[in-house]
Amino acid sequence: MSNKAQAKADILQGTLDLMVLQTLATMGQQHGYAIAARLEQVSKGAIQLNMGTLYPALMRLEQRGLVRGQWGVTDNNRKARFYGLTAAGRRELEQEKHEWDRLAGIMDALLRGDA
Amino acid sequence: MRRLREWWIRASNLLRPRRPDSDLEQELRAHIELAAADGRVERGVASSMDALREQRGLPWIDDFVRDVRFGCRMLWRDRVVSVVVIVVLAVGIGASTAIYSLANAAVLRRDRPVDDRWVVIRAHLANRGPALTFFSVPELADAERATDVFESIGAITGTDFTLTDGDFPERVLGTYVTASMIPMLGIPPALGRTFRPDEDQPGGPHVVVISDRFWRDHLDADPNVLRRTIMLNHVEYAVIGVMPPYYDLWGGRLWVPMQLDRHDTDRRARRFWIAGTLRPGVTEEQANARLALIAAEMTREFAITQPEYAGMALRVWNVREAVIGGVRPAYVVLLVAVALLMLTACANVANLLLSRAVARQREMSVRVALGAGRGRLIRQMLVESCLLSIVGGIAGVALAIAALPLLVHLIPSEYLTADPELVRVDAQAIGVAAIVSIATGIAFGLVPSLRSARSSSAGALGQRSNTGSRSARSWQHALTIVQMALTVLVAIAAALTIEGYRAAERLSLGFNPDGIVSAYVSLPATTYASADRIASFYRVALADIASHAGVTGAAAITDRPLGYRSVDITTYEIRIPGHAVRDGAVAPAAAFRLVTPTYFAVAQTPIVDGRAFTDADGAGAPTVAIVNDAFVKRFLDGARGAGSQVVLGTRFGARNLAGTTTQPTTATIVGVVADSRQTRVIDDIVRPELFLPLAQHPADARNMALVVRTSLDEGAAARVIRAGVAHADPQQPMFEFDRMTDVVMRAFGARRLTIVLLFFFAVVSISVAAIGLYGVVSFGVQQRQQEIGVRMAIGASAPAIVRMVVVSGIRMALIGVLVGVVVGAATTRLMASQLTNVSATDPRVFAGASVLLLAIALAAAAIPARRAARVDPLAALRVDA
Repeated sequence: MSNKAQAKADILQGTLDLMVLQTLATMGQQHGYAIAARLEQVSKGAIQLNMGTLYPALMRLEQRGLVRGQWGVTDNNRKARFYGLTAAGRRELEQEKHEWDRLAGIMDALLRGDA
Repeated sequence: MRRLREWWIRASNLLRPRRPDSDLEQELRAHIELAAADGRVERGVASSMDALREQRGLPWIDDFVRDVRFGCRMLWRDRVVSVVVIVVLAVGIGASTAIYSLANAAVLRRDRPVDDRWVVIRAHLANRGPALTFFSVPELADAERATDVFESIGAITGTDFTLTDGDFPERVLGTYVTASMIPMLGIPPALGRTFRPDEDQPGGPHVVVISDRFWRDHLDADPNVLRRTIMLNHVEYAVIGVMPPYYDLWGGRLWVPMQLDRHDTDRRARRFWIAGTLRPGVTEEQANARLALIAAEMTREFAITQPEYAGMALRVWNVREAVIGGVRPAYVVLLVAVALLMLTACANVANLLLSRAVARQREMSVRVALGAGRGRLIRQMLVESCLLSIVGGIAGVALAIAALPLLVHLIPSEYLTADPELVRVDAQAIGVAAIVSIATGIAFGLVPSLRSARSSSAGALGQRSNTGSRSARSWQHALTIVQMALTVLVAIAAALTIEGYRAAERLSLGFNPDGIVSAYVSLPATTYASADRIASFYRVALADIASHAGVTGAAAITDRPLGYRSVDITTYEIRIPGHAVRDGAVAPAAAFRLVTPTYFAVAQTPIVDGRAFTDADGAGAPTVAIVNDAFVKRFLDGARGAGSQVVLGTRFGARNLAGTTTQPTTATIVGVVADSRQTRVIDDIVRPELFLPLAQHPADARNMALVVRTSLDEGAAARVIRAGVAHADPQQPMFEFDRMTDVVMRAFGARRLTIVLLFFFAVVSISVAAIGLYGVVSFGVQQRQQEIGVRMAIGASAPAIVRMVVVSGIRMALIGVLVGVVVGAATTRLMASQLTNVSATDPRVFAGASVLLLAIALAAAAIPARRAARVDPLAALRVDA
């Protein structure tokens, strides 16, 4: 992967992680499909995650101890792996949100030409 | 930072149980089903699985694990080659590790922080041979002025104490030291303290510092030992300190303050060695230059009273060097031998790996065609060779650990120069072995892998793979030649050493060691003040011993042949009336030993002229002497010895450098005996020697060896000797009971050890070289099968094929042997110190080694050659076509 592509992927990855964490924070325990569906709905179809992006992201978050997954049963009686935020995940989300706000504020100020 | 953390998490995930592929797949399938329920179609299970697997672990570690697994499979497939490589490496690494551990304990390790700076002072007199080491109080004071070169300086001397605590008296080796001696060596006591200067004064307290071993053997490792006392020579000594385990200072078990009278002005009362530590940065040359100034002052000031100072040079001598100097050459030879063996093993391993790489060229080509990168292939090959070398290394270290106790058992203690418990395969040796194995793996895996990766990338798929490339063949040939050359070197070195030993063994001992048991006594001056008392001790003890059944004779001699005192035995300046012999610029001198009348009969030393001493040669009778053959040759021009007169003049000894000039006595030589080996230095020439009857010189007989010829076993003989000595004096201890055969064995033991090991190395090297040559030739045959088939198809006969193959093998062997002989001729002189009885370029040895190697090479090439001749031309042509 070229450096440029790698950099872009990093940004995407960070954003995706934040989106997943926020989704789990608002919806509680959810399986992967529900997370993807929710993101698609909230973004009005702008974000369509395929499995090859979503599940590695969930695994990454699990590896970092931010979410924990376990097998369960859906309302329709189907087996699925449900993910929930851990305490570390909650902390990370708060911190990332704060970071995002700060960055957004800076970008906003810069782009609106207030500086 | 974030990246780092993620790596850490991934790496630590490797250690946790990981979600298996089936679990991941199930989750993806659940996703698809949920999507289907919403009326959507999801695809890409395979690529998602790849992404998940990627996320799950570190890719390069996964690759590595895959490489190792694949490598193991490959090594198992070629298991014969693998086993040969592992065995060769294990032997090479095992031998290197064992010998390194041995050499490390014996000659490489520094035991004390000051080992490089710890020296004794020796006096080299103008006209006397060996350097002298005993000094007097005023001379110590002279040396002490050199504070600019010495950090610390003091006096030390070994002595025997009789431990009188127990049921029977026991001799303990002890050492007198000045208060400065133990502190200067930089090792503090494990318990208590060492001597204070105020304890090192005349009339000071009776205090003793003991060794760890004495503490354990005699005081049951009592932690309250500092409140205890021990009885030495019937005097009570308070224990004030215990030195740590393996502490060694002058070989003693305990240390006692010397309590020198610093007002003593007698320059001739030379009773101790002077030892000191040089200041850091001061070289021995600088110290010697400073001592030269002091010697010059001494000569100037005391020219009249001390004539021996004229032309005297004082020099420092590194103590460690003094201890290990004699045994170092043996270890150097051994280390060189193992290095050669290791090189041979490496060349062999490289050769086998190269052969295999050639054989696998096709596999490599396939992998390149399927998209494997060049780096990936090299890594694969490296992993395989490292696997081999690591397994070989582990086996080698295990071999070394198993072999080392046997090796230590083989070495006579005086050649070990270290506590046997200290000889072990330590972390350092294992580290060396690990480095050697991994370096071997990388070095000898890299060459073939670079080669094969290069040729593979040329798209070699279409080529016939098993003809091998020219460069691979020339590499193999070069390695085989190197291996042959190294083997010839080892064979020559081994043969030379063995020749030298056999030549030395052919020199006669001059006595018959079978059935002799001997032990030392050391009569204390306090209880044996008079000559009569000394003479009667030996008379009573020897008569009692000789009266026992099973004893055929008992005698006493100042030192037994090959004994440890022989090196500094007392000598007389002599004059032979009617013979004006001068030994260079020096007046002729001969060492003398006292003997009792039956000594020569007991030792079975032949009397070649005249007679032995008899009981009639006593105190009142005319002074008589017996001389050895060397004496007659040197001083009597080979004339008839018996009947000549010899004048005994000034007496010299290691503690008596000025010499004692008494009224010269004239002795009549009544007999001449055959030369006996005197010192334990196997190559030493036999020096002129005088034997004098003990009965005529009892004052010199405090330290003697009892020599008993008996049919009893060692234990029973020792009991008989103890009983005899106790009969004469129940308080008198004895020490160093030994069978004379063991003494002989020990004297020649280091040489024997070197020989056994060199022989072993030679055999291993030759076998390794034979395997190597065999491997290369058979590989050549395999690669040239088609060529051979064609040759046979167009009419070449089987013998012609055999000849062709054998010649190709022998050519390599011949070049290797030639190189080895040339290098050998240039380098064997370096081992001249081990080779006093044989020329370092003995043509017989060189020819023998070459012929042996060529014969083995012939055999190694003949086996594949016969196989080549059996090649079926049709089958050969069909192969791979």
